[in-house]
Amino acid sequence: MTNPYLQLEGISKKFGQFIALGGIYLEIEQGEFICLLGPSGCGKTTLLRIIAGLEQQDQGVIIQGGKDISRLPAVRRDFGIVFQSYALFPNLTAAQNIAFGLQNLKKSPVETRRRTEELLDLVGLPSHGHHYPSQLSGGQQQRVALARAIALSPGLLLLDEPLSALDAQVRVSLRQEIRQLQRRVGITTIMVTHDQIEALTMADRIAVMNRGVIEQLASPSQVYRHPTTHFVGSFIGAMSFLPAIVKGIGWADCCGYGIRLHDVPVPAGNPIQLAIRPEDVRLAETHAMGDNIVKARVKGIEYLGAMERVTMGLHSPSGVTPDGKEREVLWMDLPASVSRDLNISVGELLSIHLPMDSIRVFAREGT
Amino acid sequence: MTPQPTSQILTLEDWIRRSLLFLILCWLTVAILFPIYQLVARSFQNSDGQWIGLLNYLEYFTTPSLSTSLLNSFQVAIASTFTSVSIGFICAYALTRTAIPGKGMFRMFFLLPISIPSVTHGIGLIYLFGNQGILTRGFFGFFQDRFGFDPSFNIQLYGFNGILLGDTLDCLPLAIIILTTALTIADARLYEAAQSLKTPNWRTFLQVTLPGIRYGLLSAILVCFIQAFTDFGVPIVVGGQFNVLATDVYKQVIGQQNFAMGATVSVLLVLPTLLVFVVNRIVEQRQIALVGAKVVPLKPKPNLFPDLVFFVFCGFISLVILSVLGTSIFASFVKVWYNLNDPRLLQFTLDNYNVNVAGSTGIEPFWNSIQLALYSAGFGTIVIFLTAYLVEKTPGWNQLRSFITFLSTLPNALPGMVVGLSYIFFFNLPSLILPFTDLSIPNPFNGIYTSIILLVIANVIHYHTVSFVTLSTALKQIDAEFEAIAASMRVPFYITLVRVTLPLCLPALSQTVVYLFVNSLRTVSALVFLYSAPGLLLATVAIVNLEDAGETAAAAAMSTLVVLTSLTIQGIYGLMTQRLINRSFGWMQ
Repeated sequence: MTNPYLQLEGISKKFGQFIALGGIYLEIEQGEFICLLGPSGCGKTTLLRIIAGLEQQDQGVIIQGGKDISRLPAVRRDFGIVFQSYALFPNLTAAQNIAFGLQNLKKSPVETRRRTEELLDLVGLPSHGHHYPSQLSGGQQQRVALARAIALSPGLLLLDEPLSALDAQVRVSLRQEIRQLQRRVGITTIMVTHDQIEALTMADRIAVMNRGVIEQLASPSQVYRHPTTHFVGSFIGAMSFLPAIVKGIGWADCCGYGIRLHDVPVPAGNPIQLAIRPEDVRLAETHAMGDNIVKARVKGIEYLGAMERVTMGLHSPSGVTPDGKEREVLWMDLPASVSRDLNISVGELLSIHLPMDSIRVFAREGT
Repeated sequence: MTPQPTSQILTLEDWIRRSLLFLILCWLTVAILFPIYQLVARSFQNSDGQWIGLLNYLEYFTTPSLSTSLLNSFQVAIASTFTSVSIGFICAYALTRTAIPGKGMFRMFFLLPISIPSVTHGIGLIYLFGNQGILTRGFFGFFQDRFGFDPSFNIQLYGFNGILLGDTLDCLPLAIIILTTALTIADARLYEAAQSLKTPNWRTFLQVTLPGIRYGLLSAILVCFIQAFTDFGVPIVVGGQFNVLATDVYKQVIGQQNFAMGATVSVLLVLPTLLVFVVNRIVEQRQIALVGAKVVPLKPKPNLFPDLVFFVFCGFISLVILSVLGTSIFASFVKVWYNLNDPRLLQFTLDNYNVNVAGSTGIEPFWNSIQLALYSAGFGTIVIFLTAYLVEKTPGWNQLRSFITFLSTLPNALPGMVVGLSYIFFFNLPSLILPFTDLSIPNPFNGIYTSIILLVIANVIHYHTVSFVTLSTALKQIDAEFEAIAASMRVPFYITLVRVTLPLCLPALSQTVVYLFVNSLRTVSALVFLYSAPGLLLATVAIVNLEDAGETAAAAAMSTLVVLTSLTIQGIYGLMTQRLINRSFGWMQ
């Protein structure tokens, strides 16, 4: 078995009293595309800067390609980096930007030019070499920055929110281009982003970060379909959370409704949280009864184009506020064609099916 | 037990940068702290160098002929601040909030005094209002003879009046620059809101305009106060018997050779300056915070009657500035102003440009000044850029970097007189006594005492702060991630410096060169004590000496050379920056 290309062991970092990173362990395979995903202030950028040597961790070890690089300054490490701001040298042309590092390698000018042209081709800008950054669009600038980052064929490519400053359409196309380029070059890549779609579409594995720790490290579909914590579930995609009490093996009570579950991590009598994605929530027959069937009142309908998101309040004697309003919120996504036929209106009481396979169970603090 | 936080291995590049930073620390310590220490120490010593505590200060305050200078300085500084800020406010308001024509021209005239020596105002005022002045003598009897009436009037120039006039001219551009900036950042939306609420104009002025520029106004007051309080050029020429602190220092040191009292008066000059300087720093920070906010710029609308009033006012102020300056230039070519027995109205000559008195030989002092200005601009720009670069772009060593920043802002609070005198004290010492010991070593810096190097250092330190701020600001605007990118490509810092950072700083660098050149040329206060070496008489010092020797025309000639050079340099710079931005730098857009 081969060792992973990059190993982080117990990386921690404090800024004054603020704990930016609280002991990060991460192993990345050769050629893998990893996304560090999380809200602002979760420590993802700090982690990226520590991997680059632009920031120094308080504790922890970084091993890249079998070599301990924990204490090496950035100039002695092996990486290319792309920033959100592009950070192209404004007084140099696109070609000069790309050749900036090559020229320092004492290569022949012919070789430098050949490599520069090759890189311009690779990022789809073969005729833009003589343009200054200010003469290029945001997307073109970011491609030049990408070409510059891989010019020296580094072992590791670091992307710090590379798409965040771009227009929505450019972002979508560049998302795919970056991923294709990364596959072709086969470079191990770490990308920092706060955009879940970016992470889901681009990454081999996503490290979801919150408050300085990695909450879950898994493939995009795993992270989406099987979030391991409340935070991951709520941060990626929409998810409804309902309180429940464990009643027995594979069996819980949610505001008076009996819910069958696959496996429950805690013994009977303990409070848990049931989580379900809006697209997994089903409409049941009007008078359906039984397990996993609940009543809910429509509070609002949000038109999202291809679908409609119905916001409902769980209808139950125990789940209402003192003034009789439903407290527990449940979302349901309906394809636009379905909802047109159903003609649901606000205030209506619906029978809802929560399929057993789609329900995630999380521990709940307190009662 | 928690393990020790790890730290990065230091590379050769780190060591180079840190060594340079340490050298900068040494340079600023020797050039600022040591001399100032000597100056303060001397104020506690008698003429024989014995420690006498506060006796010098006691003597100053108990000798009425001395202590009046402190009061006089405050009087004249407060009065000049009041006039220059009031006039400056109206001018700045006209430039930013009215639709008068010729704003560019007015702005140029208003800012003229900033590039000419303050002694030049003095010379111009003497020619207009002095005892033999054109207006005082009623055009030398010309109107009396030809038209039979005498328009002469005497404003009693020498003393308070003269200093007030001269310093007002000297401070006016500073007030206008600061107030124009403050008035420019006003948010048009506030005025639109006021208008939609049907607020009368006077209330809008009191409740929107004035609060919006309060920090700028305060800053203008403080900066003008410092300028007038510490000015030497105007009072030495038109001050007469009206002693101020700056002239007192000069008279104590040069006239009476009383170095201890000179040091004492210097400290009295520094203390209020330092206080005002600190307050101004705080005010400026607030002002900067305002600039950061996004605003919709205000576009003034034409308004016939007020615009006319503002136009006439601006015209009058421009006329005053130009007449004082113009008279000093014109007078340098005049042989005879008016002679009843001679049909020629005026007789011109170039003789004033070749006067050999008061140690001045022809225009040699002017060439010395040019030389000094070139060296100061060259050396100053290099060393100040290096300082700003290392402070901004060196990783780590945060305390040292903030200390160097502090040292770099200190010279702004040091009047030129104080820089000059403290340099005499420190660099003239044959030996230095190491602190807390009786050991004394020969002063390694004594060698430059009589050379032009000392003058260069004095100028560079005197104008260090503004240059440092200009260059740091330019460096701050450069994306910090450039350094990270370069490091990721294993490009050493000095290559990034040469290929990216320096080209991006070119506008700020050329601005600094011009600033240092023009100010080295126009200053007198820092140099008046230091020119003592033979063959090193400088133009502005020569102006003071010639005027003192009664050779006002020769002083005017010397002043004209300085003024014309300074204006030429500024003009060339203005044209060059236009060209540079327009053509050579495609990337600047």
